[in-house]
Amino acid sequence: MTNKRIGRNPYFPYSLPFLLWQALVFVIPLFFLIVISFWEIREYRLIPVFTFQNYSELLSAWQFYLVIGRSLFFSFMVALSTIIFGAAIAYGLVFFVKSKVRSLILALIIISFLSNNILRAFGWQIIFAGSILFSPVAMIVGYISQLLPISVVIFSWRLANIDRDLIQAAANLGGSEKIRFLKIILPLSSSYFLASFAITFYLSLFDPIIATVVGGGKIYTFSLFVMDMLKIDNWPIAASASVIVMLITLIPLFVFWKYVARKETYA
Amino acid sequence: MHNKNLKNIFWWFIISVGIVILYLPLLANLIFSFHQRQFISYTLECCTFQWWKGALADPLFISTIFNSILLGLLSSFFAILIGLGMGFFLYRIPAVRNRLLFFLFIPAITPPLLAAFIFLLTQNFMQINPSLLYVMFAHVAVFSPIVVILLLNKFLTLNPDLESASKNLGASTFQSFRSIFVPLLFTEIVGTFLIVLLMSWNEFTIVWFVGGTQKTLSVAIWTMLGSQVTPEAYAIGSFLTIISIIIAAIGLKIYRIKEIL
Repeated sequence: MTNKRIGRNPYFPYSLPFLLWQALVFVIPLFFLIVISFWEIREYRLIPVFTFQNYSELLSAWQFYLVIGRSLFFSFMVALSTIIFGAAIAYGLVFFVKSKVRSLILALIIISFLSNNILRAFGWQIIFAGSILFSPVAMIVGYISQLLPISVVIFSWRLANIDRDLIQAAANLGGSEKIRFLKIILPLSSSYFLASFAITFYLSLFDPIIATVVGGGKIYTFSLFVMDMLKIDNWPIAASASVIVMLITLIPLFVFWKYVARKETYA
Repeated sequence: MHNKNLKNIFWWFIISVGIVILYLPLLANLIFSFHQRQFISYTLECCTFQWWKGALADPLFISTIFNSILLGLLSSFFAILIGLGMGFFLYRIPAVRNRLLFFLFIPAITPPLLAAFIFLLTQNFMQINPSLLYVMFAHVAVFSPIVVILLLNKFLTLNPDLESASKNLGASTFQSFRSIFVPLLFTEIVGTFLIVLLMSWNEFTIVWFVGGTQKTLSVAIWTMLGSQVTPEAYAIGSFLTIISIIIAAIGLKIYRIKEIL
């Protein structure tokens, strides 16, 4: 559809307030992040210059690689355990629970997502105090309890929309439950695995709340590094670190999305 | 038969563990808000209501809850206003919908820390005063994609002949939008309104970064629990949790979430 035709479309004006709001408040400011990552800070003041100094400073410090590596590994574990647990819950809900009870449980899960994250973090602090507080396991449990609803909702939405005739046909042809799961359900949900993996991975990578409250800052992750840089008002370093992490993580995801996951979707 | 029962038990076990992980920390907050002594020792000494009485009379609580309510109502209203139009547009133009839907998710799934940092930068670049007004703009940007996704799902359940019927009777696009689609989806819109209201209430990082001296309930709870953990802070938090659960239940019910999932 060309620009001219969409401009004349009678439905187009309805999208304008939304698009303008997003452009002004979100998209253009996104570029500020990139711009400021090239700036400099001298005597506590921002200097608008174009320099790669922040990037070279970060990339030449071995501690930065340590923090990034630790955070990527940690978020990978969080995302993996969240999507496996979430997929299992969704699978159980869709195939083994009556639809009335299922929607009640799903509502419960979404309701917990709409409650306060900070309170959940401090709740874990109470529960883990005296045992495993400030340990990696405690942090992973904390993250799972925040991010689980996202993957449950994504998977149950997908599983509820898979064509039941396909599964029935496989059953009629003698496919066992294991075969049906491996050959039909899993391939048809592969891009949903990727989507929920990406979302949980990002949200845990950039989340300072659980890392502070449940992790106690003992496991120094990327989000804590950004928070520390913001505390001392060193915005250029915080911005360039964010840009580096986004590049490291977005490129493989994009490649995977483009060449692996999409081919397997059924739509 | 025996095997099937065993399987059911297994899946119910997984589901129950999930529910427990989601609700246990909220329950822990509630229980420790009845703790007797001011300092938390993590072994419960039951029970007193004095913290609840103190919490609901706390000046910080009263001033921030008013801010929270105002911010939530305004953010939710504007998010619905612009999200409804976008949902209608995407509903009517499937070609755009298929291409744009992926990008719509970007503001919605941007991590709060990153979004808050971006808004903080903008605030400085544009010399905007830190206030809840700017937080409102930011919340609308972050939450309106969720409105679009929630309402688009409901638009797609409507009969596609409705609009052509109204056009045949001489209605303009706006007339059919206003007199057919909005009334038909009215309860779902109210449900979405409540859901976004809660998201705005419970959002913390953006308010903390760009709200300046104006605080919401979430920020007040963070400040209280961050400096000194007291049962009173747990009481305020549990109050927020209970209100959130009630509003979320009403919102999901009238949004009719079970028709989608």
